[in-house]
Amino acid sequence: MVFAQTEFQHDKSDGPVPLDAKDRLTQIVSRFIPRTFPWSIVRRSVTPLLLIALWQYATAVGWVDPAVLAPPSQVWATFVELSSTGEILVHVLTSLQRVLLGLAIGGTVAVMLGVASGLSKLGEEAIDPPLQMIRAMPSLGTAPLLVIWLGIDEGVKVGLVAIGVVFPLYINLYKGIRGIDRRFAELAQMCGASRRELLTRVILPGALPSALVGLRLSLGIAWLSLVIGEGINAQGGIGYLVAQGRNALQTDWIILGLVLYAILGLLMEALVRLLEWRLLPWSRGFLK
Amino acid sequence: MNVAVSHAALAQSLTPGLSATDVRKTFGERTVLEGVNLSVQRGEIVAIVGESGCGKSTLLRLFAGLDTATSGKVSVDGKVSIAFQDSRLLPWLKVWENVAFGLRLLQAERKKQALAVLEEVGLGKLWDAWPATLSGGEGQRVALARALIHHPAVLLLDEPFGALDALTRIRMHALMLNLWRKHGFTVALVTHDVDEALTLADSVVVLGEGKVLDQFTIEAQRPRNRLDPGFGRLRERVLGLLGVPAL
Repeated sequence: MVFAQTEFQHDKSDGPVPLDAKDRLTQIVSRFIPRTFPWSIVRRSVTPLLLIALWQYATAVGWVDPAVLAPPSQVWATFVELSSTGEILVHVLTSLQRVLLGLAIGGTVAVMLGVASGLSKLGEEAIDPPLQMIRAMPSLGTAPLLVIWLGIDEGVKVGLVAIGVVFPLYINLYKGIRGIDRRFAELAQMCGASRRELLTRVILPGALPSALVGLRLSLGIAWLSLVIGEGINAQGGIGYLVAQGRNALQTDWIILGLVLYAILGLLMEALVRLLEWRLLPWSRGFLK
Repeated sequence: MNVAVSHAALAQSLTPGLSATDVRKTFGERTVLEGVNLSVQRGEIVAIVGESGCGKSTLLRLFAGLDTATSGKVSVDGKVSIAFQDSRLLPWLKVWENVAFGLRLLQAERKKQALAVLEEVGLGKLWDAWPATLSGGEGQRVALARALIHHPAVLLLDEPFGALDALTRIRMHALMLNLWRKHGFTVALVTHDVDEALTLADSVVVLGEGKVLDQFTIEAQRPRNRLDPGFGRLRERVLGLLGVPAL
C-alpha cells in the first residue's frame, strides 16, 4: 500500500507534460466547436462530394463530352423537371410495387419451403435437392421462359423478382433452423416444453437472425432482377426512364434511373436493418 | 388400518430418491458405464466425483431421462430438474421468460412464479435483463431458478459451478445449501472438484472408468471445516482412488 503511494507521488512529481503546437491548436479549435460535433460524418462526405465536383468540372471544361456523360447538374435538372409534373413519383411507385409484389410471392414460397425442410428430415429430402438444382441455373436467365409463361408486361418483371428472392431466403432460413443448438432441444425436454413452445420460443427466434440475413440478400437480388425485368419491355417504372434515355441518347435520364434504383434499394435495406433492430433486441450488444 | 398406513409410510421413506442398478451404457463400441450400482436416500445430497470422461455426466443424463441405459435400471423418485454446466439460457428470452420456459400456466401466473424463484436465488432485480448481459454466476442462478420453478423432488446438477470463479463458487455453494434446506429435495451433484464434493455432500460416489470405485457417507455437520483431519483423510482417499497426488 505504502509502496503504491510513493510510486504515485513519484509520477506526480514529473509535472504536466508540455503541450506541443498541435495540441494547443486542438484546444483553441475545440473552444469554438461543441465536443459532440459529428466530425466523422463531415470527413466521410468529403470524398463523394469531391468526386461529384470533379464530374461536374470535367464536363464543364470539356474533358468529357456531355453527350457521353451528362453532368450532375443536368441530372438534377431532369429530376426537378420530372418531379414537378409528378411523373417521377408514378414511375418510382410502379417499380416499388413490382418489387414488393415479387418479394411477397417469393418470400412466402421461401418461408414455406425453408420451414418445411428445416423442421423435417423428410421435408429436406423432398425439397432441398430440386431447389439446389434450380438454384444452379442463373435466375435472370429464366427471363425468356417467364415472358412466354407469364407475359411480357407485369408477369416477367414480378416473376423474375419472385424467383430471385426465393433462394437466398430459403437457404438462410433452412440453415438458421438447422443451426440451432441441439442442447436447446434437450433443455426444452427437461423443462417440459410443448411442441408449440419449442417452435415459437426456440426454433423460430433462433432462426430469425439468419432469416433476416437471407432477406437482406434477397432484397439485393430483387432490385437486380427488377432492373433486368424492366429492361425487357419497359412500360412505366424506373426502367422506362432508363429506356427513354437510351432511345433518345440522353444519359441524364439513364443516370437518374440508376440513382433512383440505388436510393430505393438503400431505403429498403435500411428498413430491414430497422426490422432487425426491432426483432433482435437481445443481440444488440453484438451488432454494435 | 393404522398399521397398514404406517407400513406404507415406512416403505415410502425407504424408497431411495435416486437409484441405479447394474447400469451399463455404451455408445457404439465405447463402454461408458459398466455395471453402476448406487442408491441415494431421499433428501440427501450425493456428489458424484470423477475425472472427466469417467461417465459421471452420462450417469446424470440417465437420471434426467435424456439418455436411456443400454441395460440395467435407473429410477428417480419424483419430478426431476437439471442445471447444466453451461447455464443454457435462451438468448432471445428475457431472464424471467427463461425461468418460466416450459411452465404451462397463464402468462400472469408464469411471470409471478418466475419472479418468486428469481427472488429466491437472489436475482429479483434482474428479471427483465437479457441473458447476454449476465455474469457467469448470475447465469447459473437463473439456471437454478429455472430448475426450481418446477418444484423438483430431485435436482440434478451437472458441474454447475465448474466454470465460476472461486469466490462466486463459494456463494453458489451457500445458495445451493440454503435452497436444499428449504425445499428438501434430493440433490445429485456431478463434479470433478473433490473439495466441493466433500464440503457439500451427505454421501460421495467416486466414479472411475465406468464403475463405482468407492461410496461413503459424510456425517460431519455443515459448515464443514476443510482443515479438519477427517476432511483431509477423505480427500486423500478420494484423490488416491483417482490417481492424483494430494497436495
